[in-house]
Amino acid sequence: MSGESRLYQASHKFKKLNGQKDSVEFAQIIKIDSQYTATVLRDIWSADGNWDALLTHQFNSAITELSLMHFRAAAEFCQKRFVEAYECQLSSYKAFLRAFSYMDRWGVYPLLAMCKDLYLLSCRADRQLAELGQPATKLEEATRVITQGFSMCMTDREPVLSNSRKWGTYHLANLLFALYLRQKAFNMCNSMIRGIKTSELPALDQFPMSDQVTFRYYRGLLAFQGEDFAAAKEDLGFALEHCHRDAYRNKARILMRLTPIMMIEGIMPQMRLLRKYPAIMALYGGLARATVQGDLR
Amino acid sequence: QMSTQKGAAKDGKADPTATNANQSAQQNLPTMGALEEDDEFEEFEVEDWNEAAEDIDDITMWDDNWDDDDLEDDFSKQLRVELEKVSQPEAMAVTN
Repeated sequence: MSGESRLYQASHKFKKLNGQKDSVEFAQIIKIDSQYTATVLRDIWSADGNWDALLTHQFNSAITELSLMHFRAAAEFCQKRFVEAYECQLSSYKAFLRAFSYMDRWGVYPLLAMCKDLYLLSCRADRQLAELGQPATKLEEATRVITQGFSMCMTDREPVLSNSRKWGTYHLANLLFALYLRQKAFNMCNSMIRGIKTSELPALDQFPMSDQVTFRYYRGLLAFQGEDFAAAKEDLGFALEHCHRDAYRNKARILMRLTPIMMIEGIMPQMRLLRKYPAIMALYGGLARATVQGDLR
Repeated sequence: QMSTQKGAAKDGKADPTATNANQSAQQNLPTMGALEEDDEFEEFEVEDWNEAAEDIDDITMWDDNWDDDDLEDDFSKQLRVELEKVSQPEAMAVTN
């Protein structure tokens, strides 16, 4: 089988999964580092000894385009050409958005998978551009298009709520927080929070706990930045209480902001908490001691 | 950087770049390692959970009663010992 045939066979798999609305498998194989993708690339290389098959552009549908550009992105990534990989992933993602407008809730997992890869590739591309002394603008660009996906979730008009793309909104918002914070765009974070508040979404407590904890961590972090300590305490307290017990580093991140808020109110972390989180001890131990000794009263 | 200590909760979070690709595929693919900024929350390994998966301890390990002088002295002394440990070079042992 030629590389080109193998490639079109692979794009048919995407079409099939799209027809079946197979959220889980579609989301798996669309990842740049998926086993399936690696196998297809290996087969193309074995057959042809080059990547020329990836350069033919015959798109008869959004799904075909997204799948072919996905494989090209993966091949560029293998060759550590991160800027090219990002550009291909961007094309793949834009094609996906066209298809997504016809998808209901099932499309959310594939959307999330693509957004996360787009984010990672944009960072890698920017690093490479910076090394070459060129303007590093890919993260900013990725943020804009990911925001489009986010809007398509939040404003979905699907009448049957259980089928709605709205259920992807908070997960995408949480990804956008990371992108915005990386660019120090606090105002974007706050306007996104406001946008969510005024939208017709199900209540936050209806969403999976991972969405709730993550969202409230970021909202609490922003409240802390804005010196609204009461709001920060409420959100960060919830996040700490409900954070999964295995997510040690996330718990430490929550405590990084929650600890000073508690201390301002005269509530000190106990020694066993400080021993459990040495980073908190290192940052706030001295202050705690001084407070307790009355130096700062 | 965070260190872990004996008795501290082991971070069960899997390496976000790990895939189930076979070895040969992995050799060809550079890792998708995220650029970890300290504030960025890591993805949870599970999407949803109930109270059984939560740890009630951390939100309860706080004291707002600081009127007791003995308690204050105790805490203060313990803390000084711990902080001195951290500032000694030997105490900055390599952790896994």
